[in-house]
Amino acid sequence: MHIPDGYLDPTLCVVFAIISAVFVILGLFQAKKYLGTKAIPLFAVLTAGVFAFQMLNFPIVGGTSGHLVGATLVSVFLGPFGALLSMSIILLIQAFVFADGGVTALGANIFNMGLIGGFVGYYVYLGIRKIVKKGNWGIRIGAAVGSYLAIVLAALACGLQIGWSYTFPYGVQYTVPAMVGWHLIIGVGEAIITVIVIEYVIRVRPDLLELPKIGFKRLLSWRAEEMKEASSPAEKKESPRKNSKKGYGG
Amino acid sequence: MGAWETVKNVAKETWNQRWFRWGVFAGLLIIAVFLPLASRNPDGLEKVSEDLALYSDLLSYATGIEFSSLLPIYSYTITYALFPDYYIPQLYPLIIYELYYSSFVEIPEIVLYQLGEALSSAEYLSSLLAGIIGFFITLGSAWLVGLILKKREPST
Repeated sequence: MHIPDGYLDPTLCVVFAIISAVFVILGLFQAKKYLGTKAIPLFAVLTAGVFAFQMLNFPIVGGTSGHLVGATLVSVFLGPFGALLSMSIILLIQAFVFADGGVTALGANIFNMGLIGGFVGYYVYLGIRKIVKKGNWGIRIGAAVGSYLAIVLAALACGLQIGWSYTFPYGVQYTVPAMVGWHLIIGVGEAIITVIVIEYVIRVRPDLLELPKIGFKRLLSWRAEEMKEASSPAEKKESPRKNSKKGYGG
Repeated sequence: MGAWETVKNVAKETWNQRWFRWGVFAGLLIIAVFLPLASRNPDGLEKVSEDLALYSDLLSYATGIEFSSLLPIYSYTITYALFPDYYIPQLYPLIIYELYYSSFVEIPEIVLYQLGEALSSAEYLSSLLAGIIGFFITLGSAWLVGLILKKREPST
């Protein structure tokens, strides 16, 4: 759902650019507080991985395709602001190098995919993880539902933006149902890919899911108790690995 | 600890993570394997705008009143980028050009012509190269951003 140049009114471009810029700057300050040396490789590899997945469109019904947005996937590892920063990097590169998403629509695209994607996805994930206590099912269900809702809400926002624009010849009554309708289906693909990646990490390196998240501290404060619960099975799984001393543990 | 040493340490620590190397490899593998399977159909937003553009064309045709179509917007957005739509547009002409003017081998023009025809239908190589370049640009810039944003940690 990368909005190209020419779809949005200049006013909307400026408004969303300002909103996104404010949150990105907030995110930079949050990252300066919480992004440890150990999280840098994860940040890099997740960002590049999401870029790779965004290239690969999966077909859905009706001659349409969809691709992973991936904000929820990143936010599960690095928190909502981590996802916002990651998506901003991807969208910048896509806009300037690959003509995927317009340069003038960059603010709106970061708002839809980074901000809504990261925050909605992360807090839904967190809430479900808090409720579902059975094993790792909280993580799986939370990531699936979070990523699905994030996509649908991002599509809703995208539909509203292009519907409100006078440069786009159709109103909200056309664009919102169409955008949300398609993304109700695309969201399933998003949820499946997100859960597959997270399932793999749960099996191989569950400790990577427990790194300090980049977000508002007050909203994350109850994480301390969550980490106590989660750390014991994670350590058990990690110990038989050969290079556990080299990795995050040491 | 100087700035350069910090960069070196973080680079070393990054490379020492086995899952990092594995992640980079997996990313490249995913691009290589799934690219030929990737759908070329329009994605959600493109589909919506195509449908609405078609609708407006039909409406103009039926009523005789001009309804603005979205198609002109498309045509001007995909021109200025380096790799528009995840392709390297210059790749195949460049290969043919290099072969034509290379002093090492003399290749008959008909062969070059056939090669050009064959290459232009093979989207995979061009797309794969664009994808791999993009993957490493993203990886590198995210790593640099992470390095700049790193919180201050007590030196050990």
